[in-house]
Amino acid sequence: MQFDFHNLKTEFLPRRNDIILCRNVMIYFDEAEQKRLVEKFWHCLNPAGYLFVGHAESLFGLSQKFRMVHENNGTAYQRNEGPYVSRPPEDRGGELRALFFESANELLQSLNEAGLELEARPADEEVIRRVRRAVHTLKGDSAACGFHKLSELAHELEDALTPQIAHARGADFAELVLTAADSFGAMLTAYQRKAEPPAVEALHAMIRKLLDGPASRRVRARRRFNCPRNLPGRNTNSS
Amino acid sequence: MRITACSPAGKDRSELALLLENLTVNETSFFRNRPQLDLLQKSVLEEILRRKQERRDYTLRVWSAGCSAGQEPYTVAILICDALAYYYLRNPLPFEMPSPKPLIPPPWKVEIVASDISYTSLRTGQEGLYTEQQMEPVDYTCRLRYFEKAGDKYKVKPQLRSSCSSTFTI
Repeated sequence: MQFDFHNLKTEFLPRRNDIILCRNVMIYFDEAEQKRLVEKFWHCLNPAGYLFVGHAESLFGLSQKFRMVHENNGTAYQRNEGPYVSRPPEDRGGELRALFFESANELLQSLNEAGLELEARPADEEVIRRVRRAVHTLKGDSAACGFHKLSELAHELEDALTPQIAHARGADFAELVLTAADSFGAMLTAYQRKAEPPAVEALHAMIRKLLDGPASRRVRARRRFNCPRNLPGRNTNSS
Repeated sequence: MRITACSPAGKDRSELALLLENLTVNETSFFRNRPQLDLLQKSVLEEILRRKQERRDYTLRVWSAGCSAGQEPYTVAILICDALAYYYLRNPLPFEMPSPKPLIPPPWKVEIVASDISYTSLRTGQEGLYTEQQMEPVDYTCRLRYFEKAGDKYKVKPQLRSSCSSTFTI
């Protein structure tokens, strides 16, 4: 084994490799530099050699000179020998979707964890922020993959994920997050099987209930969970 | 360690090196991202070994770019040794293997190049000494086969390091 100093921005790089691992390095480079680096890796690989990049990295949009290999949640890129005809859009969409399912499953897991945390500590602002971030990412990613029902649902849910509602509706809010994770999971499974996503009426109903819950119910909830009366955002919530 | 590709000469060098130490995140661990390593060992290596053997080409070369403190190249070395052993368990060679069995069965020649932009990381990788905490993802069969105890740390066995020797220069 040989340890060497290499600056990946130079041209002096080891050639004729069967496998290159460059994991969690490209994230430090801008897109132009990433494209140059991937091109260098292509030249540094033997024909049909493999490139492994980090979990959160992808060659999507960076190079057409690699073929993605995806197996049991592991991803690698095989050097393609050309000719490099631009692949049909549906093919590239497939690659994007495979990445989407992988990251979406992680988001669902974090949603589930956050839901359980909210059950223990209702209205923890840090957890709520995390939930919002996850749902927001899911909204954007699913829209990019053409999963519009999922995206719309995430959008709808986002509106209900405010600290105010969480404060007022403690346990209902945690329940909402957990139900959302389940519903998203069911929809993802359907999309993965190329089937029509199931209707998720229960979640719609919960969102509606939380959004237009009458003031009286809010008071009851406050009493039930022994929340202080002078909550931040109490007034903004009465609109 | 051999310094090959480089940076500004003279006194600026140490300053640049220092800056790089602070800029780079030397976060890594053994067997990081298991699903990807499973793909590497079970599909990719299997395919490459078969493809190469058909051509009577017994060299295998891997470059770990951004190897940090060496966990990644050592992980790959372990994966390759195991993959080769398992390959020949199913496809035995027509001759007796010398005893003790070498980690890399002849005539195979495996080269692993590990590179990084941080000198400190490279030095750590070259030493191949890891704390109990760093060894956490390494199971005990693997520790038995590829590591030896050095004080309160684990050291990569010299056989593993030398079996993945390199004749490579640029």
